[in-house]
Amino acid sequence: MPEATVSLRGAAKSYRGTPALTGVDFDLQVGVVGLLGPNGAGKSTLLRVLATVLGVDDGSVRILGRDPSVGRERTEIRRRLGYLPQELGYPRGFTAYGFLDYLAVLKEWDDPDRRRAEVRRVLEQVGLGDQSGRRIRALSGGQKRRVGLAQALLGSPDLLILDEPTTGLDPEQRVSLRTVLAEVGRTSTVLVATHQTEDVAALCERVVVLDDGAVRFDGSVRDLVQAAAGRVWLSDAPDPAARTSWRTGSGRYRNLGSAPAGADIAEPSLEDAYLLLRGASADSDVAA
Amino acid sequence: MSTVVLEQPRLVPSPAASVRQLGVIEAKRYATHPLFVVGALMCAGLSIGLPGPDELDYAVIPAFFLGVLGLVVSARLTRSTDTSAPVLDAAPVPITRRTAALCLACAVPAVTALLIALLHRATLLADPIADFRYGTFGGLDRQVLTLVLPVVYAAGGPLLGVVVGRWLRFPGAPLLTVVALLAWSATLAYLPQSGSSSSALLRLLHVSAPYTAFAFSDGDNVHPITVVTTMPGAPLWFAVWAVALCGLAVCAALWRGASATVRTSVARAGLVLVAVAAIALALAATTGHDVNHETDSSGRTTVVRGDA
Repeated sequence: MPEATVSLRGAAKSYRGTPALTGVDFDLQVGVVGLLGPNGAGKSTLLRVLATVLGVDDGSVRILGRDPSVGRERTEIRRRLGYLPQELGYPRGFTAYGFLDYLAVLKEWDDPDRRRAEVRRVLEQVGLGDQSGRRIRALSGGQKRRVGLAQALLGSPDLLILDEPTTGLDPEQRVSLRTVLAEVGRTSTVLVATHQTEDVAALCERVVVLDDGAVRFDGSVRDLVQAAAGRVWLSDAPDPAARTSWRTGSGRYRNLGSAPAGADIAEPSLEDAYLLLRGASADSDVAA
Repeated sequence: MSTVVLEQPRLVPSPAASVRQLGVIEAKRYATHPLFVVGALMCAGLSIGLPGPDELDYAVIPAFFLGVLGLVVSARLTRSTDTSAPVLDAAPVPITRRTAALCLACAVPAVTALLIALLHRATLLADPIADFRYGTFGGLDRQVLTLVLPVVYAAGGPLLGVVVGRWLRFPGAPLLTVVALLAWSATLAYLPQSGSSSSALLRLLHVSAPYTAFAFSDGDNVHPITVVTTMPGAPLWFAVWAVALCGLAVCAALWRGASATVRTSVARAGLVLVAVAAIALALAATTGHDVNHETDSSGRTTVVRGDA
């Protein structure tokens, strides 16, 4: 098994007594990993821990072989880290280039020529090469998001942590982003938290599902999808016994769970598998 | 499972290099801030032209247009990156260096004040004012009042703005600070004007204000000046006091978010500055005149005894 870039053992974090992470264990290696989970599952908290801006209350965290709770080691980690938070605001008056230039200095790109070249490289990488001189305020939501992604890509980090990177992107931009991340994932560790299961299915080999601050699933996308095999059905009417049921564009109903009468079995998607896993989690919570 | 360190050879830059680079960026942002541009134009407009009635009080112009407005400018610049905090906090360059860069950017209003003061000086060369209008102050004090203090005020306000931006998170904090600053200065700047200037406490209060006046006249833009009254206090030591306050503002700003190591250094510097400030304040209050002196247009000086 390849060695870990990130290693968490029993990582726990609470906010004023409310648990956000409850004993999270996992390792990350080079490649693209999807992080799925409902709102409030602890995804953003986990990413902030990995981005070294938040410490854990309990457990151990090793990132790039270093301990983020030690100041000097934390700085070493940050030198090799790219982070896109869920919500990133931009200071007024900055152009896309100016903002990235500012952040490049914060990432210790002190040689002006190399810094300029690096800023141009990441702007081109996210498709904003021709927008670099525009004020960020004047950019569209998707373009702003790409500026955020560009700053995370500065310096080709060994660990790239992205929280909802595809928010506000149109389908073409999302495909373009997947291409970029797949390329980065060949040599770096990329963790992508998202609600877009299709992005995870298209991009990631491995998926981690987080719920109530704990890991509910950690494995390959294929294994998660396989777990839903035989539990997705198409019928002409909604099945009241189904865990979830909705009318599709074809006019038929997609049912998750046991087979309704006269239903046709359907190929499960990652979204189906995720919803079924979530349903099982809810059941276990009720049982508990 | 062991954890791999994906090390790449990398030259780690010195802290000074990143502060310098960030300082350049922040200085550009400062120089292009609309409030600074307006303030600088107003300051230049009022400085380069006919000299005002109280030449010794010239510093009030840069103090307001570059210092007070600069407080608002730098507070806003400091807070402006808060929206990007999650990303900035995950960068290897810590907040203290960002703060140091913001403090460096305060050189922009300081240099602007110096240039404007020199232009003002050139105006006076072309159209000199009578010597009695400098009161009893000699050459060094005149330089301090008309050249040094304008620069100190122009830097001091913005430095205080960085402190406000780093420490006061509520809306309107810069404006509230401006009001407090103006009230403090307005209350104390002309305290000895009444003539009850022999009190040591009063002299101390007079020079403790971040902006204070050292002279006033009986004239204005319409009526000719016949008498200039020099108030107690030593401008040179007052300038040292004001510079020490600027240094303390830098320390206060740097303290926010600093590591224990940095805080130790800042605390040491702060203690030295407190000592310097205290000594300078005491000297400013005690080494100048202890009472008002009136100088008339013939150059004759009269000591004004306390009337309170």
